[in-house]
Amino acid sequence: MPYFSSYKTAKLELIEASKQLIKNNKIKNNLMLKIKNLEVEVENKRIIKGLNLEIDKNEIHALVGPNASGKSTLAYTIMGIPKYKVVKGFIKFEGKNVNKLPPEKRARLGIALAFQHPPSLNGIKLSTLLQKIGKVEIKIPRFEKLLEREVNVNFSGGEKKISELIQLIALNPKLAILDELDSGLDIQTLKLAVKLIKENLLKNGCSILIITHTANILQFLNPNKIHVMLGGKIICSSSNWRKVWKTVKTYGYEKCQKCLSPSK
Amino acid sequence: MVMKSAKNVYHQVNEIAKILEVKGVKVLRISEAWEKYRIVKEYFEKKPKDGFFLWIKKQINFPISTCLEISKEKFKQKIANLTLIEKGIKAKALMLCSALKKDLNCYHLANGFIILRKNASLEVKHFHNWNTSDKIQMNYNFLLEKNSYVNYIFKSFNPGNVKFNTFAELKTYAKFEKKVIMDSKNSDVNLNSIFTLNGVHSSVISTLKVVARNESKVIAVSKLIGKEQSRGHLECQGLLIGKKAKINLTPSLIVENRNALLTHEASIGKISEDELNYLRSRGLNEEEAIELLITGFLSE
Repeated sequence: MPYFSSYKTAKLELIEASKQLIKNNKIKNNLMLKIKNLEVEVENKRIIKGLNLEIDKNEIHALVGPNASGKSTLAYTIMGIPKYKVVKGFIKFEGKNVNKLPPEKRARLGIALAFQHPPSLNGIKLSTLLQKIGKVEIKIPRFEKLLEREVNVNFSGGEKKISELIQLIALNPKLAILDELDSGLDIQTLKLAVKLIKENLLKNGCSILIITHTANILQFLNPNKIHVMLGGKIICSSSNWRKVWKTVKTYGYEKCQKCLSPSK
Repeated sequence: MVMKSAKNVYHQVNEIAKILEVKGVKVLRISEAWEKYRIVKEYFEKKPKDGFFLWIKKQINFPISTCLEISKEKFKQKIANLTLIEKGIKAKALMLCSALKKDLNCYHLANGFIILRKNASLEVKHFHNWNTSDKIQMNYNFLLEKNSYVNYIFKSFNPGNVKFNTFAELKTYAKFEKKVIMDSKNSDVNLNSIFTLNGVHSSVISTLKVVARNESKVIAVSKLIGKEQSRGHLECQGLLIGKKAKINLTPSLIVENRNALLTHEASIGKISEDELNYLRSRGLNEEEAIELLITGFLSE
């Protein structure tokens, strides 16, 4: 019997170890974005001061924080906009260090950014731009006419957001960063944006990083994790976004700073 | 302006000219017309050798096209044209001038008079396609009689070394809209326009969009003269791409009647970093992004 017992135990241990190994490998294979000890400067001013973040495949992460906490800087840095200089740490996308890659190469790898304030492109129709960049064709009800207009020229706030989303969908990315996509959107357009995200990004296995300061979009997308950013760092990460947001709404971001809770 | 069914009325390659008969349009060699019609002598003191007299006397329901080309090395093509649109006629035209080969070192000179009688209208799209080694000179004179209208769009995506002088005189209620769109790749460009608003309620809108790449040098002087109660606007935009390129834009307004309202807007800039990075974030490389932004800038 002792033999049997030890055999059984060994077998169970082996099964458990195998499970753990599969789990570990799965996590490893599923890791889309890994940022470690990231420090970023813009015009010689340090904005991000030691940031860590991991996003798995098909996960939705929310990033909240007060104005000037470095949220958009992080978005531009992940995208590789030249003005944003990584001075320390790394950004790995699907295991590949992208620190030195220009934005177009990152875009081709599968990183896409919906700009908070996209520039106007005079003389360039949205349909022309989509033909140049698009891997996927998309038609959006209510917004077909947008395609024949010059990109962001005299677009309303809502039209800009939908245009950004259309471009992102056309790129068929693996990681979509949505910088303040929900700010200034009426409820109908917000719901349309959510529908587009679900049907055209999430369905294709895309990971999403939502940067928001209103959290309006979160109730519709129910993120896997929420991160609070303050002073260029992520000071709190939690899988319970409602709890964190309730704290922020009730006590402000300072409460998060006091809490300084590790990832939960 | 749709030009799909345009009918060619004349075609000249080097010195060899071909006139095609089109109903409603009278086309003659300018030398022949000079002998035959007094009006041609009014505009050309000496008998010109090459060129065409284009006379639209009846309403036509199709656009016409003209074509001037050079295929011989160092060839000098000197054209004298007179275009006359009779009262109340509305016409559309497509004009093409080009070098058929690279490195011809050719010369194209076009002296043209375009006259619109009362209530006539003309819409023109004029395309040039030359090479850096080619020399181009154009002197175009527009005369717009009472209540006539001209919409003239000139596009050149490889202008060579070009001197383009435009003179326009407008009578009562006449309206002139002119657009010059140029992408100079390594060119010397000299543009000079003078619009004289000689009639009450006459108006001019002149737009210039020019890109200077490599070592291109662009000088553009646009002058509006308001002699009567009239309106005019000059818009000049330059985009510098080449590090050694230069653009000099001079809009000039001269008001001789206190009821004339003349305005101008001029700007010279480079490609915006924000726009460039935005397109790069969509997967276009720097070169592709710049080309797309130039296309947008030069769009009508």
